[in-house]
Amino acid sequence: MLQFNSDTATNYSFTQVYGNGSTAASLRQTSVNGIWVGYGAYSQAGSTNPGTIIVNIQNYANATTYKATLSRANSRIGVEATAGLWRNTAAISTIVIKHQTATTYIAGSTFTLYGIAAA
Amino acid sequence: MPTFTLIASNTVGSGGAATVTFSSIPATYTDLVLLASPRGSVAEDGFSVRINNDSATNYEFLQINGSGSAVASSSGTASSAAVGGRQPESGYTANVFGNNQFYFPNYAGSKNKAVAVDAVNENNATAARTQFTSDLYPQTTAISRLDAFPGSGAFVQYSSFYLYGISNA
Repeated sequence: MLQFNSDTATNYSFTQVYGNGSTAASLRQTSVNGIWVGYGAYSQAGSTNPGTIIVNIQNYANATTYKATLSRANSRIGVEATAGLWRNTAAISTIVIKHQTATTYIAGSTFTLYGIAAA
Repeated sequence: MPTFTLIASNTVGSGGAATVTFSSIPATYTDLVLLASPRGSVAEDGFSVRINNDSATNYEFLQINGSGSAVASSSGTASSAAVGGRQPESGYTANVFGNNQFYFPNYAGSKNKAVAVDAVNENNATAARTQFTSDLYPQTTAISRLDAFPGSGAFVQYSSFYLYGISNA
């Protein structure tokens, strides 16, 4: 899941649609402590086959509006699309990516942060 | 420094194209993104992307799609290409082309290759689809060639394909 600016309080919500290869469903969570961007769609533990999660954080630096995210997660066991919200107007300067549980990412996992400029 | 760089593009000409190929892809970027806006010449609404000209049954997929009236999820193994591309068929609303993103993270690395596909084929009628696909190409070779091709028929004129390299430095 994602947390911004070290905020671990229940200031997040999200809505997602996901599938596991046989069933499609939707999940919504409100007032939770992070935006789940890999629910049911992370790579299997120890697998050599990586999962892919792409997160877009819109208008991250403005100090006026709450921050919205749009993400896609993909793996051998699931795909999903998630709309997330952080109810805070602060510019995002810190992003924490972690599992909902105490699971760790295996060696070789990569995380790349890009900035998109308007000009 | 630009981080999103156009590597090559291809807009299909008047004769149509059965395959669109990007070859000699440099290994100098972090990720690849293929943006495709195709339309089919026949009653075929899907297209695939083959990696490194490997047509063996080495690919797996898992996807979710919505048709406007239902949502479903499916999966498969032993595919001969990365599936999940969507295009309007020949009978769909005229002048409509699909909208597809194929994202290849760590395409030049030594791990198995994953592909994330977002695809839509809109149509001013009941038949249309929005689809998300997770493709797996369990080969460790760096990606240096991509071939896009429809399930049958060809891509029509004005179908467009843009390949970008994304660099993190």
